[in-house]
Amino acid sequence: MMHEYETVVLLKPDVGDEPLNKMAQRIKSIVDTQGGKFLQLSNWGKKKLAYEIEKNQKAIYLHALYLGAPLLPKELERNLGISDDVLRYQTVALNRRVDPASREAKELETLKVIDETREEDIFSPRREESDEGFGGAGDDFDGGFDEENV
Amino acid sequence: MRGEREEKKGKGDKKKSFGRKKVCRFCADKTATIEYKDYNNLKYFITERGKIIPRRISGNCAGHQRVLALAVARARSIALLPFTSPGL
Repeated sequence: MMHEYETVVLLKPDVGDEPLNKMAQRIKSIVDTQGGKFLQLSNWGKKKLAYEIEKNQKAIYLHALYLGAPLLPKELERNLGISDDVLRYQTVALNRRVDPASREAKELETLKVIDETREEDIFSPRREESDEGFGGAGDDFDGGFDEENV
Repeated sequence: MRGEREEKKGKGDKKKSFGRKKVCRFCADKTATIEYKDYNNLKYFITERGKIIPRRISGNCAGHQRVLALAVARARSIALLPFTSPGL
C-alpha cells in the first residue's frame, strides 16, 4: 500500500551545487529502488535557522514529496543519517492509501544553492504587521482577571 | 474590527464580559490552513519568546489550537521557529 510522505532535509550551509544535486539524486534513487513513486523535490534555498544546529547559523532546505510503503521513509532516513552533509531531517505522513496514478511525478531538476536571506528576523516578530493581531486581545486577558475578583 | 463590545450585565450578575468576542481565525476563514512549512503565518501565534500563545488569548477553538500546536512543534524541529529566543 502506498502512502504519501514528505521529508524536509537540512544540509550544511557550505555544501556546493554538486553535493546538493548528488543528495537530490540519492533521495530519488532510494525512493525508486524501494518501490516508491518519487513526486517532486523542491529547493527552499539557504535559510537562517531559528537556532544553531551544530554551530551552523544557516542551512540549505530541501523538500521531497513521494509515495511509498511504510518502510520507505525509514530506509530514507537511515541513509540521511549516514550522510555527513545532513544536519537534520523530518518526515511527515501526509495521506494514507494514495493511488499512485492520482499523483503526478515531476522530473528532478538540477538544483543550485540559493542564497536566501530571511526578510524578517524571526526572533522579533513584528506585531504591528498583523492587522488583526493580539494587541487588543491583551485587554481581554486583563478582563479575565477582573472577572475573578468580582 | 470584528465583534462588538458585549453589554455589561446588571450588578447581581457574577459573570461580566469584557472586551470583544474572540473568534477562532481558522473557523472564521475556512480557506486558512495550518501548515508547519508556512512559518510566517505561525509566527502570529507565538510570543516574542517563542512560546505558543494560549487560546484564551488568541481565541482559537480547541481543535484548531491542537492542530496549530502540532504545526509549531514540527516547525521548531526543523529550525523554522525557535524553541526559545535568546536574550530579551
